[in-house]
Amino acid sequence: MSSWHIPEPTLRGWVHGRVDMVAAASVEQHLLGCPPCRAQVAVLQRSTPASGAVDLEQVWTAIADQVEPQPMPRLVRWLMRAGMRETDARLTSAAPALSTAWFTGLAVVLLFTVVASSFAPDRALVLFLMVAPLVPVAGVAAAYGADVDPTFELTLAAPYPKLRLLLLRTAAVAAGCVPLTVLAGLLVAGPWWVAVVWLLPALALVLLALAGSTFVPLGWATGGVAMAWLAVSVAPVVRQNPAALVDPRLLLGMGLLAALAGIVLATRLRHLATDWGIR
Amino acid sequence: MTPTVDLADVVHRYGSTTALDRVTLRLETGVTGLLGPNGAGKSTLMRVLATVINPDGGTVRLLGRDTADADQRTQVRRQLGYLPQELGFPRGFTAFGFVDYLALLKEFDDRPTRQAEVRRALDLVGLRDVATTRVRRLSGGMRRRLGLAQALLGDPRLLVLDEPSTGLDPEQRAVLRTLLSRAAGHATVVVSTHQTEDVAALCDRVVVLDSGQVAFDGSVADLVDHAAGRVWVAEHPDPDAAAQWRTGTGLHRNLGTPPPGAHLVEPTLEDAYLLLRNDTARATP
Repeated sequence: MSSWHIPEPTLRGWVHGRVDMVAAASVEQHLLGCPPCRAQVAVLQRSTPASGAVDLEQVWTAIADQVEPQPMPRLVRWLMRAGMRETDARLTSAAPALSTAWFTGLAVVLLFTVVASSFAPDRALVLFLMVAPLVPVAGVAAAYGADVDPTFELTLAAPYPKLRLLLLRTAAVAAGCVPLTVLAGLLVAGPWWVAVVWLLPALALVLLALAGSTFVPLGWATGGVAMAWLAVSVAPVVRQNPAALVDPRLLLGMGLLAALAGIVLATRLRHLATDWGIR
Repeated sequence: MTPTVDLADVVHRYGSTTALDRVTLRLETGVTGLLGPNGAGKSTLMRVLATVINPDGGTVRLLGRDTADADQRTQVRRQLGYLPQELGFPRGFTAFGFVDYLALLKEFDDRPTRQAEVRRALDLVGLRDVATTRVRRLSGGMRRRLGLAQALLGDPRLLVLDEPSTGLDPEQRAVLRTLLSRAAGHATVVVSTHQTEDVAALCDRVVVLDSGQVAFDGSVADLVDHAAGRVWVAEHPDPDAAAQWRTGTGLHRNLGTPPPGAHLVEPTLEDAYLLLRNDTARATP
């Protein structure tokens, strides 16, 4: 045992984690062979600031809060104004589908459709009716999953509920892209109801993708749903027949599919024993 | 005492490839090093320990809880720190923002508490000064330390670190060792690595995986003993050696049987690991 002992300020700094790595290593080495210094550590750990005394750690944290304020992104503020709590708003806002780049890309595609409609109305109309229901599906695909989220592996290992994250992001993406697509629909040459008629197929496709994501990865589910819709739409597009995509029988079928997918999703969520499938 | 990690006959397959083949392990407080060649199943085992994948067979109990049960798995995740082998960073995030985002996923809901914890984690890895710097401007070593910072959030009882020292310079690796040895006082730390010197310097225990199976499980000293009397230094390389290379002194280090004129030297963990790999390969039909 050494006759030298660690000075109290140094020991106090070590107890409060305020010494650098090198000094900390030296202190720890000394403590291994020095019972009096270990006893002093116990005393320092038990001691609490007396009433009225200044807690330097608290003061420092308060100063750090002032010196290093962490700005709240605009999107987070909007989501909080819409009623989300801060945690949910921050996690939702990190979805790639809520990035400026994604919305810019979407706006460009929709703008192209609107401009094209003035040159070839029927072709643009049928293209719009084919593409519009896929917009929210693409948004959901770009909101969650290993293909789009670089921190996805860490998301899976974290306690935050994956399903909650998926649904919150889906809702946020829909809230962002649906008004934009409706606006494009109003500008596309054709009857006014074109702007909203695609919402029913879109709802069915999104619900089918979400229900599918409880069985297979979300990317597969959204990809499969999109392929199926394209298969349905290809003949009307080739024939430049927009009426086929607003056929009441097709819309009724999509409505039934939406209801069925909703039931499957609700049942799966209620009975899903594990969240391994939400990925 | 209940082990922190208790794996029994764990099997995991990717298609027709068996990544983990009846792996049984019991780990307690301290640092365990996981060694093995590429494709041995190390990262798959780390992902099982991090509750990222559900194995195809066997049982996984972490911190006394069964990870097959959703509620118990969530409880495990509340006390788990994980650094994957390849960690991506969302665009536009600062160092602070990235760790703060992960703190949200770890359910640090109270903002002041969360921000204090993020600062603590950044302090631990020496990145406080770059807290407001965008992640894309950080060096590879800094990004690795940033990944480590998020794993240390909440002072977890189980730390699963897949190649944490990749991209770190010697000084940063020394800091990493200090950090992990401190954490190992109250936590179970599992470190997958290719760096045998990290294992020798840090780990109480070493597990060697080969073709999805546990080829060795014991103390570092036991593994080094495996090479006792089998490491030689000679003026010439031995073509029959399990491994040989020319050292900085100009002499050749030969593992296995002694070449003519060779003299015996103390084995290192790396020698022992290479010999174990060689012995395992020979024993495999």
